[in-house]
Amino acid sequence: MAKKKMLEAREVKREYIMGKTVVRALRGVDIDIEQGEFVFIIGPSGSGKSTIMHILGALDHQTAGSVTLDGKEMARMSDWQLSMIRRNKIGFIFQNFNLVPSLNAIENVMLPLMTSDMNKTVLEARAIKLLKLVGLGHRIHHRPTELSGGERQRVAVARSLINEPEIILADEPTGELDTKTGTGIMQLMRKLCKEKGTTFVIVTHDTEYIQKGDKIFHIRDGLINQEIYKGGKVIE
Amino acid sequence: MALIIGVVTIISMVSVTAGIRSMVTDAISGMNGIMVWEKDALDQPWSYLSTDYEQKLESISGVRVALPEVFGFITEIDGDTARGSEMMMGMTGVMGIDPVKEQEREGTFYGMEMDKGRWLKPGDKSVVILGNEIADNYKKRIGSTIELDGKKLKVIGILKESQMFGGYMLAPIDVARELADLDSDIVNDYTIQAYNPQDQGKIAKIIEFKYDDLQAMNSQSAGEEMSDLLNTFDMVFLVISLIALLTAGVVIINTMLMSVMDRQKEIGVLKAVGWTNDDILKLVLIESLLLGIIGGIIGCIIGSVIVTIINSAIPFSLTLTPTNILGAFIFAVSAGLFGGLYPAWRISRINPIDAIRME
Repeated sequence: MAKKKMLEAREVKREYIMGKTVVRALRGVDIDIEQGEFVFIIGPSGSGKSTIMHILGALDHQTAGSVTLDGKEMARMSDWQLSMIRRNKIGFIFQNFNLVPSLNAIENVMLPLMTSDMNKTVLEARAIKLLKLVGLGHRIHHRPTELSGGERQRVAVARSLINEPEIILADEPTGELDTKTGTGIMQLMRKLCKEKGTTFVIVTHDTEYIQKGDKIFHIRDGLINQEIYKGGKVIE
Repeated sequence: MALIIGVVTIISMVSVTAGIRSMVTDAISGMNGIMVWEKDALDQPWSYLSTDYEQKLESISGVRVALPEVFGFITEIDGDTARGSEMMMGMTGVMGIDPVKEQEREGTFYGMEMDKGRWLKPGDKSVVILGNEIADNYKKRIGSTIELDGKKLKVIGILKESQMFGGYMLAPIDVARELADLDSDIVNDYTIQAYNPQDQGKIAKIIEFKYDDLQAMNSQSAGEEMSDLLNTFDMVFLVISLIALLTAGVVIINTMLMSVMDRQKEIGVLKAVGWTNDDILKLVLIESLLLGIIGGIIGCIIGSVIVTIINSAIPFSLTLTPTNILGAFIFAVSAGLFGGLYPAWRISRINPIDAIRME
């Protein structure tokens, strides 16, 4: 069965100007991600892996090349349209969780849709359901400071799911967690990918998890230098 | 905080000008005519004019009537040291008018109004009308006897409550002269009323020209002068309010800017998860509006308390109206709103990635 193409990046370049030097973070990256795939982007720090993820997630603009989400070119979208894409199609998970400290778990999960027209009761019910799904049904009224690192990341995972996104982008989701907790989060994401059919794009430098991936993009010096597909197919 | 101080300032200033205005307007509207008294005298009680002037003044063309008036101070009431009115710096005053001549006066003496009892009439002897404060302080009613510096008088009337005259008494001119230790051919001043009020200014000039030892003050021009002065006051007040508004606005801009900059990361997350620039703008504006509302409420409360405290400490009263409070409140809310605009606009345009990376 041919899968639907979710994200397609072609010859994506991203340059930053820092003082007088031009930093070429991405030097022509091609990435294809299909619906329901569990994808890893790995590489050493400074390789450009976070940059490509931000561009794929409508958080940043490329300086050249094209990125299409569901067949739509994102470079041509306005700020507002990009906000709507992030609100409706994309979920984010960050390395340091980025929860709002003054809000409890439910409120943090509800956050992305708080300004939408959605009925608050429906939204809250959905948030509680998601917190149960990530195994935090008993801590829904706790604030981030009252939760452990693994629990905070579970809240962040629940938050990324609140808008029922087609794609979730995770930037070093296990970076601040110990191995056991990290494995738990990774298993949770894998389970969500299988059960809900949500596409996951995970940026990491923890190579121990990547065997679970459908695709692994190895990025180095702003270029993809290796693509590994499930089943062992390797493109250098 | 600055907002609260701004609101308190505005409330106090408005109350001061409103208070002075109402008092001055009371005094001036009561004074209907030309006040004539001895040149260089400190004030009416220290001006001594011969009764001869009554005829002289009435002979000036255009003058309808010259009404003699006497002012004196009382030291003892009912055998004890008189407790004076704060308005008069602790002194108790008695004023004397001629009940016969008073019949020709247009309006009442200084616009006084009766609360109970009756006004003076020809033939009255050993009677007195009390200001409301004196009546209250000494528990006097119509028909009571009051002893002033050893002289027993019958209370025939009590004046309506007023700031100006609460601590005054009004007696037939002969009684007042006796209390003020004045000879029977001396008065303190005359109020002159013209046939045509528009001639008052001219008549006042003629009096001062004709009699070197007299000064004449026309109530109309005095009113105009006071009104000019009060308008200047209002201008000063307006400028101070604007400065207060500006200061409060700048402080709110600063506070909100600090507050949003502290939360750049959170706001970056909000943007990353799909909040639009407008959503962020609204969030920050609502916050600063709340800041304005809270500051406004606290400021209005503190301002009102301060005005009340000042009122109990000084002789004349500051006037605090609901309109003034509402005005100060609106000022606070608008300062909140305007002060929030720039920080809201600025933070709403933040780049989510830069904000999230921030530590």
